[in-house]
Amino acid sequence: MDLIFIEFFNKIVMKKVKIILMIMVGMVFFSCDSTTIQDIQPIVANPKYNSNIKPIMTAKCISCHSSNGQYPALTNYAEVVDAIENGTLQCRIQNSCGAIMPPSGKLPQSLIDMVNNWKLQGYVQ
Amino acid sequence: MKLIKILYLALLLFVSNATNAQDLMSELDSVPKEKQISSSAFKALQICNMQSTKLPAKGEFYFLVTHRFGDLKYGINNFFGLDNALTKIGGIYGATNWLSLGFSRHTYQKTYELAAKYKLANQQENGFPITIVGYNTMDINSELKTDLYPGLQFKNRLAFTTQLLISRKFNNSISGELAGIYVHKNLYDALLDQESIFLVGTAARCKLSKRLSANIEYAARLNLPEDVTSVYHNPLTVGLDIETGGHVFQLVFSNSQPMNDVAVFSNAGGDWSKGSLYFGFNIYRVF
Repeated sequence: MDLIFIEFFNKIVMKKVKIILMIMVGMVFFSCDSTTIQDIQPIVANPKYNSNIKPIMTAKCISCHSSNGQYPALTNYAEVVDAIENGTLQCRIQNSCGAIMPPSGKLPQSLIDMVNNWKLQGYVQ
Repeated sequence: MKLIKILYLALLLFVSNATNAQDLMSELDSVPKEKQISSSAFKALQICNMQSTKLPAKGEFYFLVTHRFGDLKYGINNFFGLDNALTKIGGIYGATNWLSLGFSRHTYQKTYELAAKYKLANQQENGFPITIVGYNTMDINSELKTDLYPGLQFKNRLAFTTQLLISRKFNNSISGELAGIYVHKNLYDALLDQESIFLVGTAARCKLSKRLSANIEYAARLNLPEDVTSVYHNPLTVGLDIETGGHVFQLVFSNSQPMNDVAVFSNAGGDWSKGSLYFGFNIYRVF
């Protein structure tokens, strides 16, 4: 069995390592930084709850923040507005107070800006 | 280093099995037999959507056409998926016996896919127990337009997979494959998708007759975020290989309609439990 190991590693190390290394270096070179679709999209000038804000809550918040889950619930218009007006939603997603939300990582800046903008424009439904 | 560690672990697993099965004394007594490369574990270059450990021989050129029809759950409404099929067309060239290069164009996201497949070790009769193959793909999404995405740069169009495929032909009719898969996207949807995904894939082939074999493959995503319910599913595909001289014809049922590796492993939209499936076929013609 030892022989098989030695044979095998000799084979790989001697003959093919160069090409494999080249491919790996290539991968690292190309794949170092990623962007989100939201970051390269045009800025949404007039964000609305149903078409812009709700999808963010659905994808990133309500699996925990629902009526029987974490406080505050974020499942409908009134709850989200309340969490911004009387809660810490805005500074949590900006990572300027408490633990960052969502815990899987900061939202793309364009989405954070969208939430801020939505507040400024008076929470359009 | 990770790659080497995984390799080593896989080796240990197989080797420890092999030593258990044999009596050490009888091994000492026996005359060493000549080692021959086993015939390939899978008949085609692909199992269903996943790659097999088979490579073209040096100088061989494979022409490839694949289709996946629309969602079967809509029944007669879209004529069982015939109304919105995806097509992939491409070629694979054997540069040497251990390296092949592929190029294809896919309807989904108008993707161009470049692929390299390289054999690291061969399963041998009375020798090395497994075949190890590396596979890399790079996708170029040519559908994205700067009108819709003003911040678009060329690198945003790229997505990659890196795969380590380990197969073993257990006997003439049963073969298995184990795969470590890494998917990386330079552009992803922050709400629905992930930048990088690790998967463990498994596949098996069972030969039914001289020209027929049944295949199954499944890959589990390992690093899904805990606070999000993914809208995608783990890819599960079953298939039937039909060999006709010079062609391999593969019929498949999959929960992924797109056929490029990046999308199969990270964006399988169908759900077997809800009957949301895609029927399709792969045709390989060797020149």
